[in-house]
Amino acid sequence: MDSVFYQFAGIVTYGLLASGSYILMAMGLSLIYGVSGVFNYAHGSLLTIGAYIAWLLFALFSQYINYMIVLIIVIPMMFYIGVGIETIIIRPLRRRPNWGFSAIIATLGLALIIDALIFIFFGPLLKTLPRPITGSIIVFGFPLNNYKMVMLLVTLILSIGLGLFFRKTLIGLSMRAVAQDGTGARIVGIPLNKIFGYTFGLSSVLAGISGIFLGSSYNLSPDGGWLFFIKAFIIVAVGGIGSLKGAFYAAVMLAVLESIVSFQFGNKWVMPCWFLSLMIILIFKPKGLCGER
Amino acid sequence: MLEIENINVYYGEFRVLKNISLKVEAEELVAVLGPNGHGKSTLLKTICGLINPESGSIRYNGVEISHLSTEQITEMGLVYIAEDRNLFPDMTVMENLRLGAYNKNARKPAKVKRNLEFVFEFFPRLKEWSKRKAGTLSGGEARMCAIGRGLMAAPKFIAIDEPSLGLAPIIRTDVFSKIAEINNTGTSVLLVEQNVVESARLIERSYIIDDGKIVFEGTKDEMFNNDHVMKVFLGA
Amino acid sequence: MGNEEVKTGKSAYSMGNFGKAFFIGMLIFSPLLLQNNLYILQVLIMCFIWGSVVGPWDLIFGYAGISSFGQIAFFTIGAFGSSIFSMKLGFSPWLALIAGATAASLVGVLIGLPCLKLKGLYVAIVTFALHMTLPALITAGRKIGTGGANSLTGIPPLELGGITFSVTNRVPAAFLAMGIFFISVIVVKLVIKSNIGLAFVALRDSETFGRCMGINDYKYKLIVFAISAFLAGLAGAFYAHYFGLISKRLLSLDVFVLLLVILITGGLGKFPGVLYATFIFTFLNEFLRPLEAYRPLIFGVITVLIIILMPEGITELKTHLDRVVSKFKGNPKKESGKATGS
Repeated sequence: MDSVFYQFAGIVTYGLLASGSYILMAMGLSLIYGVSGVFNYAHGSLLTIGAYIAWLLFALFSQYINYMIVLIIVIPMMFYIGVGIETIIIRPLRRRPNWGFSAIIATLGLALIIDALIFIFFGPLLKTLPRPITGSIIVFGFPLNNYKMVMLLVTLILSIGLGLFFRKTLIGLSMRAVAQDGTGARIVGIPLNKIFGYTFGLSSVLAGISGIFLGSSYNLSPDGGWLFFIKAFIIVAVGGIGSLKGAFYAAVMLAVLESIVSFQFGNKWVMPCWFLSLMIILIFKPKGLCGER
Repeated sequence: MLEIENINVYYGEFRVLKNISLKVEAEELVAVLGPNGHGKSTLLKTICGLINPESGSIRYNGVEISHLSTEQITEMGLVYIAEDRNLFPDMTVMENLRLGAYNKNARKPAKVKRNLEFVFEFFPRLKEWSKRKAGTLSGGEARMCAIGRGLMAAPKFIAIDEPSLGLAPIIRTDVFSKIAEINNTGTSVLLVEQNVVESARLIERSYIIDDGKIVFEGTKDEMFNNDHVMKVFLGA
Repeated sequence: MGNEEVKTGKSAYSMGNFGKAFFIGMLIFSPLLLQNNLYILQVLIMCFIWGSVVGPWDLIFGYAGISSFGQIAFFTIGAFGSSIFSMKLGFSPWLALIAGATAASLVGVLIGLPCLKLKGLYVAIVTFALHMTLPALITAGRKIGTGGANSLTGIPPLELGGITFSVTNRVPAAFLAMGIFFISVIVVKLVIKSNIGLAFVALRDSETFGRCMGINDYKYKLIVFAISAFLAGLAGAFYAHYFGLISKRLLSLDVFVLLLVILITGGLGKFPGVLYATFIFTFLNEFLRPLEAYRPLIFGVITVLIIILMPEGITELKTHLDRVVSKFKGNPKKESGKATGS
C-alpha cells in the first residue's frame, strides 16, 4: 500500500522535475506564435544551437568556465540570432496575405539549414554536456536528482521573471498588446517590427536555455531538436495557443503524464500518449486548456 | 493643421478613395459623412498610417506624413480611435490606458499621471472599471475606454471613426458631448459618423464622401440647408 | 468584389493542346524508353508515386483550403496497412492495395471529423502531430505486423498474369505506377472541376457569400480529405509492394521537405503546377544524393529562397515571364482590369 503510493509519488515527482526544460521550450514556442503569429518550425533547431554552443564552449575552455558563464554567453547570442531570423527571413514575408503559411515553410527551411550546418561542423556523433552537480537527495524514500532540481528551480525563477516582465515592463506589455490586437498596438504607437524582433529574440533565448538543459540530460545530436520540437508543439496546442500560462501548466501535466506512461507501460508508448493527449484535448477543448484564440 | 491633397487609396486593384482633398484647421471639428462602405474608414486609416496612399499627399502641421508609420504619426500628436476600438481584450482597462501613453511624447511618468487623471475625470466610470479586463466591457464602455486610451496619447488631433456605432441613445449623447468637450479643450477632431442628426451640434464643417469621392464640402448650415445632399447622401 | 485573377486567357508560354499531348505521350512511353537505364526508371517511378501524393495535397491545401500536413502520414498508413493486410491477413496484394488505401482514408475521416470543423490551424496541428507521432506508433505496433523499430521486409509484390510489378522488374512496375499516377491526376481534376471544386473556389473568393449560397463546406471538406487520403494511401501501398520493404523513415524529414518543396514550388491551387515540380524536384533530390549532408542544406536554402522570392510557385515565374514578354511585344497596358468604382 505504502510503497505503491510512494512509487506513484516518485514517478510524479520525476515528471515534475523533468518538466523544467519542457516549460521553457514550450513557452518560447507559445510566445513566438502568440505575439508574432509565426509558427516557428525552427524552434527545435534553436534548442540544438544553444546546446551545441554550450558544448563548444566547454570543449574549448573546459576548466575555465561553468554553466553560469555559458549562459551569459549563450543568452545574448540566441537573442541576436532570433532578431536576425525575424528581420531577415520573416519580415519580408509579412507583407503578403497568407504569410503565416509562408512563415512555416521558411522556418522549416531554416531548420534544415541549421541542422545541416551543425552536422557539417560538429559531425554526427553524439556529444554530451557536463553535469556539474551530481547525486540526489532522498525524499519519501526515493531519489530526487539534484541536478534536475536545480534546473527546475532555475526554470521556476525564469518563469516568475517572465511573468513580471510581461506585467510590469513596457516592452512586456507591448508584446502582450501586439499579441492581443495588432492594429490596436499600431494605433497606440507600438513599433510592431521592433516588438516582433524582440519577441523572436526572447523566444530564441528560451529555446537556447532549454536546449542546454535538455542537452545536459540527454545526448546532443544534430537532429535531436526535432523530438523536443514535437513535444513543445503538442504542449502549446494542449495548453492553448497564445497562452503562456497554458503552456506552463500543460508542460507540467504532460511531463508528469509522460513519466507515468513511461514507467507503467514502457518507453515506446510515450509518443503515442502525447498524440492521444493532444487529440483528446482538441476534441473536448479545441482551444486548449487556457487558450482564447 | 491637417491637409490632404488628392490622395488615391487602393484596396488591391480597387480604388477606394479617388482624389480626395480635405482640410482640418486647428481646433476645428470636421465631420466626414456619407453612406457606408464608401471609404470613410479607409480615409481615417490612411491618415493615421495604417494604410498608405498610392498617390497624393497628407500634410500634418506642414509635415508630409503619407508614408510615415503609425508609430511616427502618433508621436506627432495625431491619434486614431478606430471603429473597432481595438482594445487589448486580456489586459485591464488600466493597462490599456497605460499603453495609450506608449508614444514617446506621452510616456513620461508625470505626463502619464496627469493624463490619467484627466481621463478619469472625463470618464469617471473608467476609474471604476480600471481593474476589469477590456474584453469584458460592453459596447459603450469599450468605446469610452478607446477614447480614453486615445486621450492618453496626448493628442493634438483626433481622428475618430463612428464613435456612436452600436450604442444606446443615452450613451450616444454622452459620447458626443465628450467629443465636443475634447474639441473645446483645443484638440482638433476629424469625425467620421453615420449618425448625422445627433452629431449635428458638434460639427463645424463637413465633407461627404460617396463612392470614394468628395461630393460635398461646406459648413454645417450649408449642409443642412442643402436638401439634395441631405436626401441623397445622408438619407435624411 | 474580389477581382482576382480570372485570367483564362493563354499566356505567352502556354503550351497549348498540342504541346500537352506531346508531353503526355512522351510520358506514357517513357518506361519503354528508359528500360535500359533502370536507375532513372526508378526515379521516374518515384515521380509517379510522389505525384500521386502531392496532387491531392494541392487539392486539399490549395483548393479546399485545408491546412493539412497529413498526406505523408496517409501515405505511410497506406504502405503499412497494405503490408499488414497482405502479410498478416493473407490478402492478395491487389486487395491489400485497396484495403491499405481505404485504411488511410478511414484514418483521414476519423481525424477530419473533429478537426475540419475547427479553424484551419487545428487541422495543421493535428496532422502535424499525426505525422510526428506515427513513427512511435509504428514502433509500438510490432505485434500487429509493423516490423517494430526495424524495417518491415518481405512484403509480397504485385503480380498479374505472370508479370511481377516490383523493383526487380521495373518496366511493368513503372507502367503500373503511371497508371496510379494518372488515376490520381484524373480524380484531382474531376474534383476541381466538379461542383465541389467550384464551391471551394467560391468559398475561397468570398467566404460569407459562399456560405450564403448554402455550400456546406464541412461535408465537402471531409469528402475531399477522404479522397486525398485514399490516393495517398494507394500510392503508399504501391510503394510497399514495389520495394518489398518499408520503414518509418518514410516519415522522416527528408521526405517531408521534398514534398513540401514540391508543393510550394508548384504553387498552391495552381494544379498541375505541382506535377511539374514533382518531376523536377524528385530528380533533383536524386542527383543531389551523393552530396550527403549538403543535400538537406541545399533543400533548406531552396525552400527559404522559394518562399521568399516566389511564394506563388513556378506559376509566378511564368506570370513574370508573361509580363516581360508582353511588354516586349509592345503592350503598354498594365495589369488586368480594375473594378470600376462602387
